[in-house]
Amino acid sequence: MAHISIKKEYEDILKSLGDIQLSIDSALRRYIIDMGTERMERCETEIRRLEQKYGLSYESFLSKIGTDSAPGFLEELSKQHPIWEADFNLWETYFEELKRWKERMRSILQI
Amino acid sequence: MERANEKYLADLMELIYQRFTQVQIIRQEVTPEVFILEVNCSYQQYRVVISEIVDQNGRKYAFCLLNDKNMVIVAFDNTPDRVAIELKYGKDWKRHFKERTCHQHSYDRKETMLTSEITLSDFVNWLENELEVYISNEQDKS
Repeated sequence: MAHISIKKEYEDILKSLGDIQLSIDSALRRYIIDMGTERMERCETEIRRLEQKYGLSYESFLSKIGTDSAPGFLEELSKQHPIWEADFNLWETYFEELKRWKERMRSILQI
Repeated sequence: MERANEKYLADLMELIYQRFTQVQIIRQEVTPEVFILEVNCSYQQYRVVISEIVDQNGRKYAFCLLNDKNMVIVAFDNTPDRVAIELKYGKDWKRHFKERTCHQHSYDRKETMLTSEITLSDFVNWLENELEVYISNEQDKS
């Protein structure tokens, strides 16, 4: 368990609310949920924008650029979106971050 | 990591403002886990797109030089592009699905070539030292 110092003013108020450890845990949990939700919303907005732009989910897009499942896809994509690579980098980053936050949220909501 | 990311961002921005014109920051995000920078700018008469991302999976980049018709003059990136993976691994390429592979797209994306990892600084050096000869060779071909 990590030890974190808190301001004296907070400590005094928290004491009036009951067990300090319980209050801190509850506050941190709420903070993580709020921040995680905000970050997940950000990722989801960006993922949706890219899905609309390319008309595909991230997984389908990855499969089409990385395998031979869709012959001619890369060539057509490069014609229509000559700098798709920059979008793909972003798409992957938000997709992976969303996955991480979903796992974290699942784990914290079980606590 | 956030402080390191902030320093990284400052260094990149300094380089961008020094070497490019009409700099437009499209996206800039620095958190302890993710670094994202997307910039549109100009180099001589060309449009440049810079994408630099660092996250838990490593570094992702795309540096593109385009003409006024939005045609790629040259582009360097490390996406898991099937053509690049196939160039790197030959017959065994399917085993390397999703593997980031450093490569270059030539004039009008006619060719794909493998490269070593390219930094923004490498890209700037390429523009300053190679572009003129490269364009002249392309003009000779056509």
